Amino acid sequence: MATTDEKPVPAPESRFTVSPLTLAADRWMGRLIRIGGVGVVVAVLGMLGFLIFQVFPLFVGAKVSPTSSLAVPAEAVAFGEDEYGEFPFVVRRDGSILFQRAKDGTKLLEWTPALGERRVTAIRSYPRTGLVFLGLSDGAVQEVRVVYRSTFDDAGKRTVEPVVTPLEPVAIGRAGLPCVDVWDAKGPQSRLLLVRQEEGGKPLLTAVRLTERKGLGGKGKVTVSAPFVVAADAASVDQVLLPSTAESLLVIGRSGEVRAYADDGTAFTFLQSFTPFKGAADPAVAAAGLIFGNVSVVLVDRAGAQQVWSMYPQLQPDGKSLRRWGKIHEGEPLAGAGQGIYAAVGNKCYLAAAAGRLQLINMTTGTVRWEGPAPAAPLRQVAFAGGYDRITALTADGQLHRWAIVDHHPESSWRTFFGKIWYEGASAPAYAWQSSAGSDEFEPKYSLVPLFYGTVKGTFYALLFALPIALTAAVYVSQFLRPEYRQVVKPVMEVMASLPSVVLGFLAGLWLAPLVDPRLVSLFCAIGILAPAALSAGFLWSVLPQPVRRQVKPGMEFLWLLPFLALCAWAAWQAGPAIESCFFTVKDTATGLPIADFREWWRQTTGATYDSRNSLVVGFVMGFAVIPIVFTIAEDALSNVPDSLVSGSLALGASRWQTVWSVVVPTAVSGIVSAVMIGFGRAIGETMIVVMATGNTAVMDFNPFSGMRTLSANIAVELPEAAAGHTHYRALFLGACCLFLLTFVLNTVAEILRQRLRERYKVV
Amino acid sequence: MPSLMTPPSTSRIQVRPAAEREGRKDYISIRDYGFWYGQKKALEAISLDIPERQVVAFIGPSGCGKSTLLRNLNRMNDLVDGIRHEGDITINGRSIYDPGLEVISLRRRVGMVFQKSNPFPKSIFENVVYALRVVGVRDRALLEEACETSLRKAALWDEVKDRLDDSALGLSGGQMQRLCIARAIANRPEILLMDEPCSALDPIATGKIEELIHELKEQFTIVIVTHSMQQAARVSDRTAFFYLGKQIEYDTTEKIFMNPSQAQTEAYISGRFG
Amino acid sequence: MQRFFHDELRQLRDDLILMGERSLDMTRLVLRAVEQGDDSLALQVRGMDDRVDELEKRVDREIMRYLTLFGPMGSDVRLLLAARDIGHDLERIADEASVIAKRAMVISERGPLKDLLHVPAEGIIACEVLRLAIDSFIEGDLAKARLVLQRDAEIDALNRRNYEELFGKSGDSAKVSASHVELIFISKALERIGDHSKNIAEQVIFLLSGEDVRHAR
Repeated sequence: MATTDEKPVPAPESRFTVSPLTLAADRWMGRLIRIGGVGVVVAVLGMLGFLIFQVFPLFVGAKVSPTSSLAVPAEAVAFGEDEYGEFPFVVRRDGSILFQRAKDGTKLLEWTPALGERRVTAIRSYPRTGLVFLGLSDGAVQEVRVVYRSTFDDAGKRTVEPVVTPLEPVAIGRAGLPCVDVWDAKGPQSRLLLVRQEEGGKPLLTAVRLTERKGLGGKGKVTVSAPFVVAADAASVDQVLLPSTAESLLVIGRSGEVRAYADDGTAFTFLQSFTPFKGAADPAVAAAGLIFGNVSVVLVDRAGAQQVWSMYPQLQPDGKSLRRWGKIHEGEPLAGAGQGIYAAVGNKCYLAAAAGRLQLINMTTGTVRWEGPAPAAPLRQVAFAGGYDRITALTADGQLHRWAIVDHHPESSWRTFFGKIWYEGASAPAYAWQSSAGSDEFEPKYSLVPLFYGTVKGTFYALLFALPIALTAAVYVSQFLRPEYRQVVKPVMEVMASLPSVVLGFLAGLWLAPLVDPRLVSLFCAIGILAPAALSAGFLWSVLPQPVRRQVKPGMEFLWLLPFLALCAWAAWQAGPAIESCFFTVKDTATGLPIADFREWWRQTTGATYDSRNSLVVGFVMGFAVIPIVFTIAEDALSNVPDSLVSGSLALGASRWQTVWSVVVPTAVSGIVSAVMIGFGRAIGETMIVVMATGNTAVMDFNPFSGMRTLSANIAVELPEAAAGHTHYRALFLGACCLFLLTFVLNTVAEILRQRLRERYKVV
Repeated sequence: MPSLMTPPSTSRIQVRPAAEREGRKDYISIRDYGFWYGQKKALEAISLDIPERQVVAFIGPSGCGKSTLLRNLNRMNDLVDGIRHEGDITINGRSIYDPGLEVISLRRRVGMVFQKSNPFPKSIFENVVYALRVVGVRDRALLEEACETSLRKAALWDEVKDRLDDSALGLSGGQMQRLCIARAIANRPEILLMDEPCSALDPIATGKIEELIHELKEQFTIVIVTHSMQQAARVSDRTAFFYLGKQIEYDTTEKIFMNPSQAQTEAYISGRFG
Repeated sequence: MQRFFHDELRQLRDDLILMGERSLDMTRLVLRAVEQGDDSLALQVRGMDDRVDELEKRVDREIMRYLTLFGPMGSDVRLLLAARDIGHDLERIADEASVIAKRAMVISERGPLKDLLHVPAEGIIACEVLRLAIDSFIEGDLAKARLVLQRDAEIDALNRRNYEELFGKSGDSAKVSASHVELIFISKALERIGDHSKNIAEQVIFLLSGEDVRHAR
């Protein structure tokens, strides 16, 4: 309670007050900084989220949903349809063709063959080409072409009108015997028509070639060759698989033996025979189907076991490498006996029907992309249509079932990107990246493993070169060099760090690689001599008498060392050719004369490849990109080691080198680790140098004289040509995602390691 | 209970009087010594003899050159740019600037303890045996023995014997400084230089270090630089007072603090300086 | 924590105790010399005084050294301050003993005195009080120190009676001889010894409790 004689407390307004502006600025800056901090985290997470968002569809299976079914005559045995599936037709047993509107089943057109005495005994329809082949009772075959003609009226309304054009029957089989089955295929030069007949219970396969000579104007005359018997040596014929290219033929016997024939231009000669389910209780093949591309066949036995056989180069006993059939996969067994294998068009998927189930399987990866119930009635014919949009199936109960497929990435699975896969046509399972090629039937290969490998390889060679130089330089500059020189060296190195890597890559690819290429041995000698030269210089220095040594100020020794080293390197460079001719002389394969060439020597001695733009060049130049940052950070860490520790060590009678090695370096180790890790991160993410200075081949070897393809370079090279939303596009994003995670994990590990080390070596 | 009434402890090491300890009177002999950092003259005409196995304290205000002189005794200033000296310093009759004498071997004979305790970021054990490791001792038994001996001498053994493999950085400030002393002792030096060894320590740790100095002078010649005149008075046998790079007075500690012959010394020790 | 320089305090204390014992010995011896008229004893006592003077100088030197070098605090300061006074009082006691010895020799020159009045009793009490004072210092016994303060009055009383019996109203001045005058001086010296003992006890109280009891009523 204030008494009157106490000094009055100064009124608040008489004190100095903080201006509201200052307070507001303080508040707002605090918020701004918080927003910035959160923003960084959000940006990084957003980036990861975006990558995952792009990659996620790769790992979603196919969605196949039944859309509609159309009642067709029960005696329909085959079907065909237009591209949109609006006006399907069915072929009845008697060869008549009935067109119906898919929407409501209304009959559009009916066509009946005019055959006279002859009957239709075999029918085959190729929905994709609109060709229907009618095998006749006398062994002849009539080809019927179905074309949908679209017309547009004035209002732009489309009217589709099917047109049926029957051709003259062609006599193929033995006259008088009815056709049992008929196949058609279009080879590069001619078409092949194949019929199957039964003669006294024995199968008889006869074929003709139809060659169309194209005249100058329009259609030429079709020449029909003399019928010739194929696969006459097959004991029994259960199924015949005729590839759409007509270059070969697979005949599957009842015993489960598959006999392969190849077209040699005149006849189908026997190629090889194999029995896929040899060891099984019932070796018979229940269902078989050629996969898109015609070099792989899926075989299913009666127990549901699946095998994939493919043609690939195999070493024959006589030493030649010939393309022969061989087993490349064993798929997951189906639920029961195979009822049919139906290949998709445009990719390597097939629909396998067994025991009332349908499975959509990718042949290459063996992944079941979809599984669902099959229609109750037996399947008569199944076809993929509209690319890979739709499956249509004709069942024995006169129903035309339809399924819609939503499967954007049929070839993707974890195995595709990370597993070892035996691609068809390859001799062995492999990790391969080959995203595009000239042909449609080519199967893109998206293994990220060679890219990881290339990334690791490039990083390894870069760090092999960069780390020793950067770290020893950091130790030298921070601990031994006089401060006035240090003040020059440090900024110069920092400027080096800002060199655009595209410039380095450009130099590497266009200047260094050609320069180094012929003088490789010289280069090795020059680099190799540096360390021994430096060490011997050190030794010579130590034996010099004290008075001479006193002439040179401590920290100035390098003025003597540098010319000495330059001289040694120059001498070694000059001696290179002599050394090359001493040790690396080989016989030139072209001329047979002995030549001194390291590159040739390397190829012949190790069997490995030699590329002019190789890992060494990349390592060297990438090293240049990495050295400045590693140097700068390591130098900072080393310089920050308190002088008191250095003095403490020196005062105990340790030499400078002992001090550096046992006190300075361990104390700075956390900083050195972060320097190495940042260099590591830089090398992993480095793109332009790798793009420009390597061949960008996705190889899987550590050969220093071959190139590589890194994850980052891969993205840079291929993203422009990848169609958005495509598997290729998403695979590149997956690569980016992996790169992100790789660096994230590495940095996290490095940070944890650094924290531990810092805790351990923290200086109070 | 006043300390007067405490019964005399029997376990204490009996300290022999200085007279018994005395060895060579001019064990360290500094003659007309001058020292320059570049153009700046840091020391001028220093001449003093430090007897064997005694504690000599250097006192004086900051910048008086006492630390410079101390650091020159084991040539720790060699790394500084542009240094120059005149006159000579001999230890046991041999000049420390003898061209045949490696500076490393000089530092092995003249150990040093710094103002700020500077244990290496290693285990306690590795810290103590560092000097032995540096000369290439690999025999584990030898190292362990040296470690124990040194730690005992530094009165630290009982406190750390169970955690020799722990980081030295986990010790308290006083323990760290004693560890640094143990580390210097392990080198078996003849002379221990101490550059304000207690300036960062609390009174108890300081007391322990001073006790240690008192005991170590049985074996070592100790030169200590200190800002605390009380400390100089407590631990040293002789005291040198420096001012502006000059040696003002050098005498027995009692004489310096009770009845200095120089007015400047009197002013400094009585706090009437400047 | 015991510091190495605490040894010096112990040394100082030991020296003080030695001084006390010496002074007490001198007092006892000189009393015997007075009672027995033994000149040789008196001479011996006079010789002992130099030793105590030496000790006082040593104690003073030690106190000064300690104050200069070791920056004492708390009880150490009190000990050093008290030690200086105690040393001084003990030296004074030794001086008084030496004075008594001189008087005793004068008396015995003139022939022995039959009647020593209350001097022997006074001497016994003085010795007891001194003993008590020294013990209170050695043992750090506050009770003993306070007892000294009380018993000092006994010595004062005896000294007064000695004086009154010779020169008081009831006194028989005819009896007074030159020797008696000497005896009065001896009595006075004993009374001084008592006072010094009392001073020592006051210092011990100050040392032990920090309380200043000088000039208290």
